Formats: sequence, C-alpha cells, structure tokens
Amino acid sequence: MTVVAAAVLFPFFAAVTALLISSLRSLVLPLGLLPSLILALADGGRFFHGTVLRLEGPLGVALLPDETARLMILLSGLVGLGIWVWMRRNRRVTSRFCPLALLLVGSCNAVFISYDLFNLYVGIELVTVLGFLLIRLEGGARQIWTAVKYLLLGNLGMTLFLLAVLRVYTVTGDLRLSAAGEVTLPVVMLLVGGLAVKGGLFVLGLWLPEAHGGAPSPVSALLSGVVVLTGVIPILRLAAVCLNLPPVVQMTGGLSVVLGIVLALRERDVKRLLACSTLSQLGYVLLCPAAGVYFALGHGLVKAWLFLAAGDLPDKRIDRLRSMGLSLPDRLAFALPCLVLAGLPGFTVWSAKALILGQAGVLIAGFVKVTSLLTAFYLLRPVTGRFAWGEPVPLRWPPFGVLFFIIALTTTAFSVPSSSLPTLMPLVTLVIGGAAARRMPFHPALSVLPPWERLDHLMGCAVAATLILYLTGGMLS
Amino acid sequence: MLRIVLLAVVAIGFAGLFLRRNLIFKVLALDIVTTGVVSLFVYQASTSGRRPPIVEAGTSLQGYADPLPQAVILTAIVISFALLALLIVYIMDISRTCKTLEADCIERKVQK
Repeated sequence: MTVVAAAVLFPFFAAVTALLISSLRSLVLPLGLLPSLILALADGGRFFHGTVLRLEGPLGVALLPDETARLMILLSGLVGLGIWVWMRRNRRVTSRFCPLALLLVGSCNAVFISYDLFNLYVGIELVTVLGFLLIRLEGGARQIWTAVKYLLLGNLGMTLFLLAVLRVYTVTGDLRLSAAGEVTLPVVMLLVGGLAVKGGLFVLGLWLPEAHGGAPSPVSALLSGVVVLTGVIPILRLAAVCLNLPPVVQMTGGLSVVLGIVLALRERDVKRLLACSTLSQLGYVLLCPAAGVYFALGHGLVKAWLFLAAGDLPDKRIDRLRSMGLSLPDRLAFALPCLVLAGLPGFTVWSAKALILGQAGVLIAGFVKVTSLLTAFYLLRPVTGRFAWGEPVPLRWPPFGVLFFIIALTTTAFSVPSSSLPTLMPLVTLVIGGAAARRMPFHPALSVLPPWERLDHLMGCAVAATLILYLTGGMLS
Repeated sequence: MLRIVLLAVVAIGFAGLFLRRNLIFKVLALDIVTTGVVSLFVYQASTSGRRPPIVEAGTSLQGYADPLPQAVILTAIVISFALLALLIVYIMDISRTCKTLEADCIERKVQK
C-alpha cells in the first residue's frame, strides 16, 4: 500500500521541490512521472491487485489499486512524458508549465486510484483548479474567460456530486464508492450527473470544445487525454457497483458519440474539432463499461498526440488548410494520428474497439461501425484538401515525439485482452472515410461562438441534464 | 424542518446563478449553493446529537454529533474558499480589459 500511495504522491513532492528550486523546473516533469510509470509498467499484479485498501484504519480513505487504476496511471505518465518530449523538440518547455502539469498528473492519479466518494470530490476539484491555471497560462482575455467558465462549470458539477455524496452517507453511513450500490437509483444518477459535467459527456460536456480548443496545445493534450477521464473513470466504477446503472450509462455514451460527431461536422477550427471528437470518443468508453478503460487508454494517447500535431500545423482553420496545399510531411504528421484514432490496425484504439465489438450486442456493434466511419470522415477533412504539386519536399525521419507516441500505442495495443482482431474492416472504413473527406465539399459554420456555449446555456444544460438523469433514475427504480 | 430550509438555500443559490447577469453575483450565488451544501453536512452530523464529538473514556456515546461529516466537510469549505478567491481575481482581470461585469457582454467582447 505504501508503495502505491508513494507513487501517487511523488509527483506532488517533486513539483513542490521544483517550485522551490528553479533550476529543476523544466526537468521535473519526466523525473516526477518516472516512479508511477515504472510501477504501472513493471507491476505484475503485485501492487495493483484489485482489493480495496484503507489508509489509516476503518474510517480512512479507501483506495482501489486495480487494473483500471494501473492503466490510467500508465496513461497519465505516458501522456505527460510524451508532451515533455514534444515540447523539448519545439523548445517550448517553460518553467511555469512543468510543475503545474506535474501537479495535475499527480491529482489525476489520485482520482484514478481513489475508491472513496469524498476523496473523489477533493481530487476532482484539485484537477479543476490546476486545469484552470493551465488553460490561462498563455493568452489574453479570451483564454481567461474560457478558464473562468471551466472553473464555474466544474464547481457546479462537483456541488451536485457533493449533494449526492451526503445522501449516500446518510443512507449507508459509509463513504466508500461501493456504498453507492446500496442507495436508490436517483441518488446514483446525481453522482453520475456531477461526474459527467467534469467528464465532458453529452450536453453536460458542451463546455469542452471551447476549453480544450482555446488552451495552448500541450495543455489541450493533457486536458483531453487525461483530465476528462477523472470524470469518466468514476462513472465506470459506479457502473460496476450499481446494477441498474449500465443501461443508462450506455445510453448517455451513445448520445455523446452522436452529439460529438454532429458538433464536429460544423466545426471550422482544427483544435475545436479535436475537442468535439473527444466529446464523441468518450462516449465509446461508456458504451461498453467493462471494456471502456482500454479504449480510454488508447484514446488518451492518440488525442494527446493529435493536439500536439495540431499545434504544429501551419494554420488552425480547416478551410484554409484545405485550400492552401499542405506539404506531404505536414499532411502525414496530422493524418497518421487521425487514422490511428479512427481505428488503424496495430494501435491501441483498434484493439480496444475490437474488444468492444466482441463484447457488445448487434445493435451497439453496428452503431460503433457506422460512427467509426463518420469519425474517419470528419477527422481527415483538414488534411485531405488540395495537393500542391510544386517542389517535392523530402520526407523527414519522424521526430522523437511522434516515435514516442507510435511506440507507446503499438506496445499497449496487444495488452488488450481482445479475442478477435479484424484488420480488413477497419482498413475499409478508413479508406471510405478518407475518400469521402477528400471528395465532399466543406461548408464550415461561421467562426462565432455557437449560442449553446455561452455561460448561462452551459450551466443550464448541465443542471437540466442532471435533473433529467435524476428523474430517469426515479422512473427506472 | 431545518433540512428543508437548507435545501431552499441551495435552490435560491441555483436561481441566483442562472438569473443574475452580473458575474460577481453569479460567483456569490455559487458560494451560497456551496454554503447550503456544507450546512446540510453539518445538519446531518447533528442528527445523532448536538454535543461536540470529544468523548471522554468511560462515558456513553449517546447524544454526540457524528464527527465524520464534520471532518470531511472542512475540506470542502477550504476548497470552495480557494475557488472563490481564484474566480474573483480572474473576474477582476477580465473586467479590467472588458470594462464590464455582465456575462453576455464579456462573451461578445472576448470573441472579437
């Protein structure tokens, strides 16, 4: 137990040290992540054994170091390291970013391993505050306003969560997550609603495009890859504990997938497009709660890679990118992670999708196949525009950051316990999606912020959706 | 009875969050919501008794407040205070560039 707790707490220790000793600051990110990363990689069921631990006696904080926690700690470590490698190449490592990012990864790890409802609340609030500080790290009034909206929304969601936690404690006298299995469904729904605001699911996550699209690229990578999962993973844990919950969670996931695709189709900015796709892809995690964590791992890695690649694109507007005639290396650097996210064979997203297809029924399997096609279509649109037939640009050896993500994704791909791994179907999907993206004309919406992303509407959507969840819970029980 | 009053405080806070246009009032409304929830925790602790939960050896456990909700909610109070401070600082920053505190006005101005 001490080993696991120490691995989770070490990033905090390292970050605070780096804040005191300024020469350490730009190196602290990889150093602080190493212990948890090594633990998550080298563990053979010794530390992450899947039984609930309690810190300090019977009333202490409960921790659950299981396979889910191990994979998520692995993900946060790899994403943090990947971002650092990438920033290093671009000479963009800043002394302000590294300690904050390390603190953020540390608090995400604390959420992933926590099995105590109140501790989840504390961890997620910590994540929200650190995310807020990172979003507004660079930029002007717009970034600050986005960050304020993010903080208000996150706090609203967690207040709803806290109300439900009180109800759980009143009924069961226990704060462990498993206590949620003993309360009525409406209360569980209130917990889910609060977490879904943080996790960016369905209309509760409409804040996501602006927050993730407006932040600096490395921050977006961290937010979309790891931070949203602090809301989603507890929902998966709840779905494992509460018997009536999985159908509702799957429904929310399915709606989230569709909403994300609809939003992505009208998007003009590349980074906002990627954030919409996060909203959509997180739906898959919930579609099959038992297999969701593998998908979350694959998606987190690719999404971080995509945001970093988007930061290197010469322009952010999709219509400009389509008409300017991108050079081949630029095109490939963005198209490769897009293909991986849409299910290119050999990478984690592909094997996780195969696992979902293997476990789900006919209806969900068909849904996943159709939406995968649409995903390939909207993701590839920025880089399938006009070709420039000028000077042939020499193909460069892929930079270190790209190799890092390729290695991370191929090595984790085959640890997914998937029985059948189809290769023909995903390839056909990618080819059709890519061809459609090349052929179909692109008519983006105007670049103004859509009305539903104003503060009042965001808060209204979040509270209304939570109320609907609450009432649905009442009807189902 | 007290529980209903506290739930009403939470509801009033939510109403303020949606109906007020001024950001400072929105933040204050959010604080009212949090205070309501915190009070609900404290109320819950007092249902088993109102004596402070400092038990001397050899006495019966009757009539003492439940220490667990009180202990955990202390963290929530600190967190909500920190969030409030952060929000107000950054709203001050925005109001300096946008010369307004109305949420809709800021929304329009930062888009330009």
